[in-house]
Amino acid sequence: MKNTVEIRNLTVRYGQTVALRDVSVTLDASQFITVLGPSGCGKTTLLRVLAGFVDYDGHVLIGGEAHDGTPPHKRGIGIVFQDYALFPHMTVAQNIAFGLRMRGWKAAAQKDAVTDAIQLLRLDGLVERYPDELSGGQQQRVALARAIAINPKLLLLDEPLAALDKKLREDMQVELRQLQQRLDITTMFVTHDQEEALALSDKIIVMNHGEVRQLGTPMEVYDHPSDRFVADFIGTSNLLAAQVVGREGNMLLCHVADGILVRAPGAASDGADVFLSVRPERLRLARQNDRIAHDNDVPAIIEHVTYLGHRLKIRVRLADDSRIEIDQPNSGAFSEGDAWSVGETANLTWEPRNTIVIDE
Amino acid sequence: MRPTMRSISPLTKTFGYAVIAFLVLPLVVLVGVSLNAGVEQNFPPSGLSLRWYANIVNRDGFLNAIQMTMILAVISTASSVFVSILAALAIVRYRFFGRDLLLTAILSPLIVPQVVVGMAFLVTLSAIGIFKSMIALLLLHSVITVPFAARVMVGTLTGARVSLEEAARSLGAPPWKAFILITLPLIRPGIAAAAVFAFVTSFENFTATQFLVWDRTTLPVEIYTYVQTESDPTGAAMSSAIVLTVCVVVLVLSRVLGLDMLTKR
Repeated sequence: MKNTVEIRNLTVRYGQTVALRDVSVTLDASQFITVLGPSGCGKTTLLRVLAGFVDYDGHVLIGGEAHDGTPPHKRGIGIVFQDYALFPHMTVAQNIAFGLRMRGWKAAAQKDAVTDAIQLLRLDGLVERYPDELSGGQQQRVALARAIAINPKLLLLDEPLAALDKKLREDMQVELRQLQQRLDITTMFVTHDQEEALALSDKIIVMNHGEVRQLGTPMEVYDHPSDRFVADFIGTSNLLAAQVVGREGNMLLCHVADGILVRAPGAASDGADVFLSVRPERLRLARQNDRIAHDNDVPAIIEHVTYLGHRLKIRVRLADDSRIEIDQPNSGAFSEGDAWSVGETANLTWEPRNTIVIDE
Repeated sequence: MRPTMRSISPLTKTFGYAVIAFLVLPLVVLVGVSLNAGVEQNFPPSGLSLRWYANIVNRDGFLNAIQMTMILAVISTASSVFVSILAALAIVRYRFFGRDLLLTAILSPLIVPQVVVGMAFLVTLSAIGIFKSMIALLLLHSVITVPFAARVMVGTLTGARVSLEEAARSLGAPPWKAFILITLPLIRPGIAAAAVFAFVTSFENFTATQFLVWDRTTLPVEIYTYVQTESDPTGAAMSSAIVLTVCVVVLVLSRVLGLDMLTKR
């Protein structure tokens, strides 16, 4: 089902601690929304609020309908728990049919719905198995089938991929996304894995300390992080303290250190203290004769080179002693003797538009 | 890694067999004595006979005691298992003021000597005026069996994941239904174990019980009274019968309530 989700001024307290502080977000229907943040940021609490397991102040509207005070069993929301929470004393078929049984469906109708869910999640041949006779990936799919079988208003996924190994996790990410699009169901997915969040989501809610720090598309949160936390939490971020000293065309001129000026897009006013962030893959190391005009250009000393095969990770030190990570494709020059050596001075360059200005 | 099989030293073996012998031997002797054909409590028995078992049936004292003991054991088992489930739910699932105190209070009959428990019940119940009654004994037995049942239930419920009940609720089950359909089947082996402990505790209790019996007594008290005055093997026969009964009850309970689930799934 397509349903919008509206959360207004949501606050959750556990005794003295505030798990969620004045959270307000509006989510569009049919979207795959990821709640991303470090552990203890309140992301699971947010999910449990929507499920109806947590007392809260504020308002939750699903499909435009107020759900405050509605107990979990009357919400019609599908949940996949982190530990899958499959009923160990029931077969796969009984697990999937449980929600329909609670709705008083006739046995024949239950069976049809179970068959549909089994086919959808490719669980053929497993219907009579018990959960402990299934692999982790199969358990995961049974949990999904069970949540989907009730045709939920909203699908909630609490770090469901965390327990799977890397290969299986990547397969499940694709499957999950395809399933969500096919069923056209508003889905909220909780994770602390930023790569997973970027790969899967229409929208990402970045949370920290019980507050929403940014709500945006993967591209928005990666390329235009709203604050230092988001810039740092998503991807690797090279942060430089700087001060706005003037303008050049539509670019800000920022003073980093020792008279080094960097151009960056933005609207901060003169004299403002800002942080500049540049993603490692947007940086380039150049020799004196290899510089591109109009690029930002900062002298740097090579500190460490990590050879990863397809990529090189290089750490450099700037004049103000700050460390910068560079991630560049392995062009082949490295193995032909044209390698960067530790201690060498190079020019760290990047296009001005790739500078992210974060107001403090 | 598979642990390497090591051979057990003869000394350890001997010690092990000695321990088993001391556990089992008295029961063997007891049964042997009960089968005496003569009136003396001889071992090995002088001739084999079931006459002392027949003698149990001939004595109203024993029959009444059996009836009373069974009623007490069954009712106190049911009530203490029920109370234990509720108490364990509160202790395991909730954090509240006085939680540790509640746990200690429930387990206290384990720590307080039985003589003291019996004495305390005697003075309290006679003050209230329900002394010398079945109700008094039922109260006592419910209390002394609770710690055994509660300990098992706390352990069992700690192992029952809350997420399972939450999953059931998200799928449309009201809280009570989620408990009955999901948690209850999962804690069934624990309930069986709790029931076995409670039943045996009630059935065999002597020390505290003897403070509250009147002209009607329970089996352990009756046996004790009997061997004080008589020297024939009826007491041994009765005791053997108890061993047999307890074995049967434990076996039945574990089959019906599914102790075998512990080993199977």
